[in-house]
Amino acid sequence: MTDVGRHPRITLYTMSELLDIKGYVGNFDARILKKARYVKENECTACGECAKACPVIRPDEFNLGLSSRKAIYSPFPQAVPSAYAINISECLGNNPVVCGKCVEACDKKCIDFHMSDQEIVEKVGTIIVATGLEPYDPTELDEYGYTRFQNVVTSLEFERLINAGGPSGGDPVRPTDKKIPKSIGFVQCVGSRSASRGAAYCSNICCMNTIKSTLVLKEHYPDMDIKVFYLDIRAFGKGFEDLYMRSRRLGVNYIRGFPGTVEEDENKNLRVTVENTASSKLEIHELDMLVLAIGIKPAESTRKLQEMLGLQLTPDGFFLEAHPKLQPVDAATRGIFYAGCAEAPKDIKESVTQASAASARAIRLMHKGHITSEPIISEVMEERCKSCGRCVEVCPYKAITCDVKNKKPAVVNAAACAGCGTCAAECPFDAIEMNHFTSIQIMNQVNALLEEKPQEKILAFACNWCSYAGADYAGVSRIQYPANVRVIRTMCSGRVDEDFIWEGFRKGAPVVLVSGCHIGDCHYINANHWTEKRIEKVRKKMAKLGLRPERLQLAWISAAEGARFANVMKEMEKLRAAVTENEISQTVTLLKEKK
Amino acid sequence: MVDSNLQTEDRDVLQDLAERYGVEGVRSCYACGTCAAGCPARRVNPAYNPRKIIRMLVLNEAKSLLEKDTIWLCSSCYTCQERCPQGIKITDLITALRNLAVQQGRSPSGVGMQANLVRSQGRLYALDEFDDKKRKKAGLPSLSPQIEEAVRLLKEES
Amino acid sequence: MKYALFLGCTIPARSRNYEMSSRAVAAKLGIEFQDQMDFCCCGFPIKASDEHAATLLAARNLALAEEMNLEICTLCSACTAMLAEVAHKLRYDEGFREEINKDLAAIGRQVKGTARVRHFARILLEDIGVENIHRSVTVDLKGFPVAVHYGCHYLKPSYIYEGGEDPEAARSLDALIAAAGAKSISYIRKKFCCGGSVLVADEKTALGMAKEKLDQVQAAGGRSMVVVCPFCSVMYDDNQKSIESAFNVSYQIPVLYLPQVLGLAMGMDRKTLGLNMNVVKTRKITEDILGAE
Repeated sequence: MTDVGRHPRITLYTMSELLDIKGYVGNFDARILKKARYVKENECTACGECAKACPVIRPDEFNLGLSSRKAIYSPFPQAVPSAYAINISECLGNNPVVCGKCVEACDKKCIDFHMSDQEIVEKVGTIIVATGLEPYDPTELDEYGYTRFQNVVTSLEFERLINAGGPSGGDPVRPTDKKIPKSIGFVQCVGSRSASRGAAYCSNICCMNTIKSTLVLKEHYPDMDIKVFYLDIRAFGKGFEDLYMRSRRLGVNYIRGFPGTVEEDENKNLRVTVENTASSKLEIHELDMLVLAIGIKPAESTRKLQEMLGLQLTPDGFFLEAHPKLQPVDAATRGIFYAGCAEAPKDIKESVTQASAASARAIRLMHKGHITSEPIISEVMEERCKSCGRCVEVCPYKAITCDVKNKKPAVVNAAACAGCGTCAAECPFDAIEMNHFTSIQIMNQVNALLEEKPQEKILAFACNWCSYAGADYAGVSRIQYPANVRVIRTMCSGRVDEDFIWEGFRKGAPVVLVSGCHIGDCHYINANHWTEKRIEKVRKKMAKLGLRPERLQLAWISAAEGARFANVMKEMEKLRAAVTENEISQTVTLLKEKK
Repeated sequence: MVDSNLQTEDRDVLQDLAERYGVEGVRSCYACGTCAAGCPARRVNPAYNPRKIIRMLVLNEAKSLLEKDTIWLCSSCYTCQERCPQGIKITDLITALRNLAVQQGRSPSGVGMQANLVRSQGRLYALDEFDDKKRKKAGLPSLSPQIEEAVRLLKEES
Repeated sequence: MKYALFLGCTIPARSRNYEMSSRAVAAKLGIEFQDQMDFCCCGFPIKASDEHAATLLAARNLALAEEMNLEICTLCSACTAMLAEVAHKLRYDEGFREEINKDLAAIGRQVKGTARVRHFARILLEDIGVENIHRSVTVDLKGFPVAVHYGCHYLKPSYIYEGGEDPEAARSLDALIAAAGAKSISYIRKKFCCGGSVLVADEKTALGMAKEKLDQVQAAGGRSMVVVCPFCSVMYDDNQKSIESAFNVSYQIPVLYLPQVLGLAMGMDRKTLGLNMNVVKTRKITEDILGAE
């Protein structure tokens, strides 16, 4: 942390809040609100005389309220920058009648009550989101008695207690009598792995944190009676199983089962009732202290940041990476990366690994000074654009801007555009062209494929990343499927303009298939949602025209689903066989007239 | 040896439960013991164990479960249901099991008696003249001794 | 403030003291009870053997309440949960409502799913409020120590009670007791079930469950218990002697219904509150509070 503070090329904004962020890879504008510290950062030597003089006493957040601090304070000893700060809402104020004691105490004269919040704009090329986590508050799990019984503490509070720099100097004293407990229990999965209270996911770190705590305790107090109430111990990391075994060998009692009730007796000891699921017996354990191994929640700021940056979240509420295996630190939007618990619950080692990867990924983009982008991007034909703003609405990358009020034509940002083509498909005025997948190119393909005996053909649109790859996979796996399928590749199913579909039917196609990545797996964030809506719309129009909507099908096929691709094609063939020549010719006439 | 194929009767029970309560929920039980540890009936009678009941369901031993009296030891206090981390409606499930047991003619005698009383008079206790007198003495309004319409409703239903 | 009073089966036959004290306290606080002679059993006693039959009985009662255009006020917690559960399903599950209406058609009734059900204690707390209750207190109970027993169905299953309190951290009865000027003592196993539902299957288990709580109330120095359900009262009051002889213990802890305590604080006499009908003698308490009559 200190190194970061000293580094000449790192600007650290503490006590700051991101107001908003605009732009795209290489050119982000971040608006930052730097809150007033009321202490001159560069002049304060952190001597602490001011805090000694301050009469205001408040609970110390860093020690979770287990100790106190003043209204002028440094949050913790290694805090960067090494300067004190005043919490102005707690301060009595610089009024000689009321207080101002800190001003008198400061030899360096670096306390300045005239400071005010500052708004700063920084231009940045890439962004790493490392907003951390929020601990789970176990009060709602009232059967464990947290807040009702003082000797029930969270793992985080316990962590401060066994920390040498903590409020008790590293002695794990129990809150009621400040004595070292003779027996201590740990409850695992508090607020984790629960469908009803807390979160459904495993919080990843609690098992090993408890095991570490038991080892620390056994090292200092070999006779302490330690019990861990658990469901499964997940010691999957490097060296973890070894630590777990060491803890067991030292005599820590691992009991499989969660407590049902915790009761307090007159000595403030805790009586914990638990079903030992290994022996099927109901056990009552008398303990001096109980530690709840609390889980991890997404940080409070997550949603706000997600909206600001146009990012995606998993159903758990953590940030969603661009690809779970191949791009685990990238956001779907270019130039944004994740590190630490912002992306998922993880321990220190994993966080450091991910942070290193994220900075390397960022440097890789930045060091050249320019980026190379694919030529597959969309382009607005200004003369046709009516500035309706539809393209802005559908672009998953916020790559298009349009001044709707002043009727200025839309502008595509070449660096931000990823090339899905949804804008081109959705533009009501055909004013957007998708380079390399132009309307003319695709229309010509449709015409060429249906030139001869169209009644025998299945016209299929497949997206580059999933469905087309799925077709390839079916081929290399030698899975048989009807040979009369004619596939047209687009980058994304979002590119499939309804005109292409109508043109297919007009040229005599009995059936048309549009296929893409499964919902949630789209390689262009969520462009396939627009595909889904569009197909629904076209089918409704077909029904209105008296065409059977079944003739247009939508299927999600992933790159690994070769067999599924074949099955879908077999289904399509069945549908095709059911379409009569008469039906086709009626359709053709109807659509030609309509044109 | 455990036969991995489901006994027909077990399958019927599971199917019944699935239709009424969604047995899939039961399968998500990870045997943490929260239900058993907080259960007031288990505290005084070790023969009763809600965790075991769920386990037997998951292991397709529903039939033998219905043959035992243990499902009648639940006090319907909902403690397990409220606390189950997997959100399994344990109390509701036990009610369903009891219904199935009754259909198979297995229930404590008092259960059937209560049901018969309600079916025949529309209320548990018929309020006879003696009761009515006592109520009058206490300044309470008199009530119908039986509720014919409710009797009719249950007759139609069965 | 007018409610359809739902007495159920047990209260009018076996717990007239609860009914009397409830009516008296309600009248004092300006609550009007509309009696409905045609209410039948709530359905709870038949739920274990035939849940559908139980549901139909509950639905019939709810249909009557809808016709009266009044919210149901219950005194028994088992009735509360049974009616509230069915009311909840009728309100949110349209398919369920259609099914039930098919059956109800046989007796010429229909449910719309608009009926609401609340326990008397909850109505006191939410519609009258502790302030008003406190204002109607005329006798100083001087912090008389009582052990409040919430029981189960007054709070659970929690999903059927919209806007209800967290069953793990219930405060409503403590608040009402405090408003009356008595002191709700804290004791271990406060959320423990009375065991009433097990009585029909295994008396020993049921009595053992009741004993668990009586032990704790005694240990904590509770000089009386307060309940809001006739089944809980059966377990702690009617069966207290059986427990004492079965387990060779001695309690002599009077068990009062909540409105009996409220009534005492409002200056009502023993007769009005039916205090002579409680099994464990209550005279000692009333003498302590009111002085010898």
